[in-house]
Amino acid sequence: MAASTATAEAPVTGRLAPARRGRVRGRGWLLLLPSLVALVLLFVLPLLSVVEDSFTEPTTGLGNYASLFTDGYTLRVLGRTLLVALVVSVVGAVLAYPYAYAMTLVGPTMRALLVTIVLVPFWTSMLARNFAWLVLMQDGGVIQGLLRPFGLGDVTLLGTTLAVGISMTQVLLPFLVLPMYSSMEQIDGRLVAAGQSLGAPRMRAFRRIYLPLSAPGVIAGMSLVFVLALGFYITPALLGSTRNAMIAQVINVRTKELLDFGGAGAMGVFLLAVTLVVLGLSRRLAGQNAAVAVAGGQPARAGSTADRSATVRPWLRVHTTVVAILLTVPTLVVIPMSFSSAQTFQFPPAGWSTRWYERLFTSPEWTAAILNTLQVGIFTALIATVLGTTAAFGLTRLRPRWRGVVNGFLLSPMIVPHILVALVVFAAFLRLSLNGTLIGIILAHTVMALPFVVIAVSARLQGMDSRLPGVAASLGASPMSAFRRVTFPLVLPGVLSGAVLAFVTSLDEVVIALFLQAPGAITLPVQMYNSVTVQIDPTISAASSVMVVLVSVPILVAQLAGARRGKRGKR
Amino acid sequence: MSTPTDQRTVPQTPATRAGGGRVELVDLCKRYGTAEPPAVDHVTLDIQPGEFITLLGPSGSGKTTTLNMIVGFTEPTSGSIRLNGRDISRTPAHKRNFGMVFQNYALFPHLTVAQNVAFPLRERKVPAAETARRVGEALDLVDLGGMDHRRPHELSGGQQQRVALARAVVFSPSVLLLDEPLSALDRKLRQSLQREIKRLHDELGLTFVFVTHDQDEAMTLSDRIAIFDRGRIVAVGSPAELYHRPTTRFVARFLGESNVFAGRHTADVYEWHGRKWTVRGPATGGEQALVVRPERMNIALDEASVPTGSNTAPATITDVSFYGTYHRLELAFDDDTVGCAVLPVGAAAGVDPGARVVAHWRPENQVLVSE
Repeated sequence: MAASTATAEAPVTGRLAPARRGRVRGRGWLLLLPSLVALVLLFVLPLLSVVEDSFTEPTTGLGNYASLFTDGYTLRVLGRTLLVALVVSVVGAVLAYPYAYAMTLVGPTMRALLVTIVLVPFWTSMLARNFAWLVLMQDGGVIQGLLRPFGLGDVTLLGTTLAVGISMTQVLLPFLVLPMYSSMEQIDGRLVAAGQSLGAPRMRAFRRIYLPLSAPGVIAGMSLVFVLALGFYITPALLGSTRNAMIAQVINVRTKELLDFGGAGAMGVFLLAVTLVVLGLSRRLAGQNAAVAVAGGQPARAGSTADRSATVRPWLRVHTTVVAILLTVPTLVVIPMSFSSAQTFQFPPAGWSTRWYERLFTSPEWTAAILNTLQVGIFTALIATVLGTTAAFGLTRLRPRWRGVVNGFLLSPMIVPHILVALVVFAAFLRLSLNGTLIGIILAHTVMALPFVVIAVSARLQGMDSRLPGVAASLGASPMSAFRRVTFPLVLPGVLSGAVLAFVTSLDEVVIALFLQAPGAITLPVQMYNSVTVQIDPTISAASSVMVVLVSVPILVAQLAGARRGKRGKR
Repeated sequence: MSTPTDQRTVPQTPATRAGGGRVELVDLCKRYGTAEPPAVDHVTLDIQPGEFITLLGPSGSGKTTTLNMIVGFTEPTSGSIRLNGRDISRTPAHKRNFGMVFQNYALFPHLTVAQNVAFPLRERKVPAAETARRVGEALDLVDLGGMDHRRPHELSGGQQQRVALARAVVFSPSVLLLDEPLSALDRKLRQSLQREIKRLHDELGLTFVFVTHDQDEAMTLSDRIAIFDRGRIVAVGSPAELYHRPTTRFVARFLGESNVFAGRHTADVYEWHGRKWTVRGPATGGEQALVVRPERMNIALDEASVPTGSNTAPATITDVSFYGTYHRLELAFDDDTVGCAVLPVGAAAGVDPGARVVAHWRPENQVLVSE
């Protein structure tokens, strides 16, 4: 009996005795219990309750759903939202594909730079980037100034669907580039050369070989961006107007101002249904193509697989430069902006000062917001990391069949539209009087952050040689000792990156925090949001600059260090 | 677990602490489900102190499961395992004190070479100074002195397996278990590590239990070989015994090459394809095959030149390959049995593919085996 404990940490052979298998699996469920309970209480039950409301409030029936399509206003909003999401994902793909392709062709240092240019906006405060667009597009702003010579000087951008579309495309671009790049990285570049040697002209070889092989990344990226755009709230709220509202804005008004959970719920459920259909379709499409990619591509080894005949052609160089500028420059306007002396968002600034930095770190409302954000972020990271790590360990002990189902369940907060999560949490916490408390925000953020921890730790566990705990046992380590000296140190990088992801998720989260805000429970992103919408407070530019710098410098350093190491050969 | 300090001037290498353990497997069984056939089926084996024994068999024959039961990763369904007479069937793996070397090295990637080797000593609370000394000795033993601070991924496959060997013997276990330790290495390295393992066995005097599916490896290394087939041990013996006196057709086919004739043993002759061959000893009943090893098989160009008293079988040569010191002939016998013969370079004149020949051998060089 005691013999079984030696291998309980991880099966050595995968062929365990039935009795022990049962015990190990039982422990798997025990490890999963905390996160499953948390998810059910904080997410599933509230979601079901909102779904129920959508059928029963104010009267039982399909009234809420009928009015989605019958009252002309909502239908127009839905149509506009779907159209914007579609255009954003298509235009984004056209911009992103050549950029991602160029990333596979350039040398290590250039690649590190291009990766950084994508990663920095990926990690930078959503609000900072939207604020930057607000500054650029305002009346009398830089873009109007650029258009004036063409006689378009008094075109109003702010408040239009075009403004919303442009900034959403820029904000979501990293979500397109990264999956495309990771898909292209897998492709053996020699295949195109092989196609040419078989008689296909270069362009046709590219179209018939490279394009299908990179399709899974394109589909994954486009469907992700489409789905994210559907539930996007911050950009339309800041840059759009109620006349050109998108669905998230309407859900916001219905929820927070009208407390019409039935009507808002119906919209949210519709959004969820569209999301699930799109993701399901993309999975089927990308799945088929993924099979092709696996069959066609040898696993990529840096250096050996580059398509030698491919070079960065002039048009590709121009395109890549333009996209790189688009990804970085608009966001960077927040830095000069933050040294402005004016009480407005005027850009370029008329005079210079550091008063907004002073205000950021001394005024009571801003310091309180910073402290709240740190507090929320740290607690979210702690709870999500503990829950997610135990859950990831639990997953490895389940039968493969159950593992898939439970894993999907743990990751489900990622695919539910953000605005619907906000609505669900708002409705549930209202009943529990958690609205307006930091605890409420922490709990909601934990649900959002949990999937990132599960993914990070699981990836690490899968990469680990599952025999090692058994090896440790054969060398005299008790199960506790084997865990402490072998399993844990090996999984630790995954746990840490999960914790960082959880912290950043919380740090950057606006929509839920906006829904749950109250005096005393205002996080930094909410304070930033309010400083644009409620008052005109340029301190936001100082806050944005601090966030951009805090995020970019470590990423740039890590990428360049990685590139240098890559150049030296050994990993 | 630290050994008492030795007062003599002899350096306390593992070799001076020689003493192999005796491992007895008694009626050992392992079933994974009632529907499946047992993975290990009533295995009984007495492994002598200091012996080098190899568990040999095709994949899925139960040899690795047996090893996993010995080391304590797998719990037997029934039967027992004894170490020096003491039943250890229920002892957890970390208290069994066996050294084990794994397939694909299984070094801890987050630890340096020295930390890997020190791992079992730290578990046994050996003082730091003694740990350092014993790690150094163990690394010297496998010719890896000076590699202490490397990480496993900075080493070649052969070096990694040497570290794994050092790690498995540094705590002076009485038995070393090796699970296909050479299968991930290329041919040349495999041969040099084979010699290394044999040398370690001689120097340390431990009991070695070696699992492999490679018959050449088993033949060159082992004192005794236990051949596994479908969960059972079908034969145990020294490599020479098993080679020259196989008891079953499976053993004859699995260990080395064979000409296997399927005929009938009646009274004092063996009937095959219309011929009557001389056999020693009476028929035992049951199906019996007649086995002749290729180097015992001679080739004549016609029946007339066959020495009297030899058994003969007409054959057609289908292929001849040259191996430097010998020729290897592929034969097709008249009942379509495929066989082979090995001839010294000078003796192969006139044998070319397509030639009709007579294969012949002395009756004392044939073995009757059960099916």
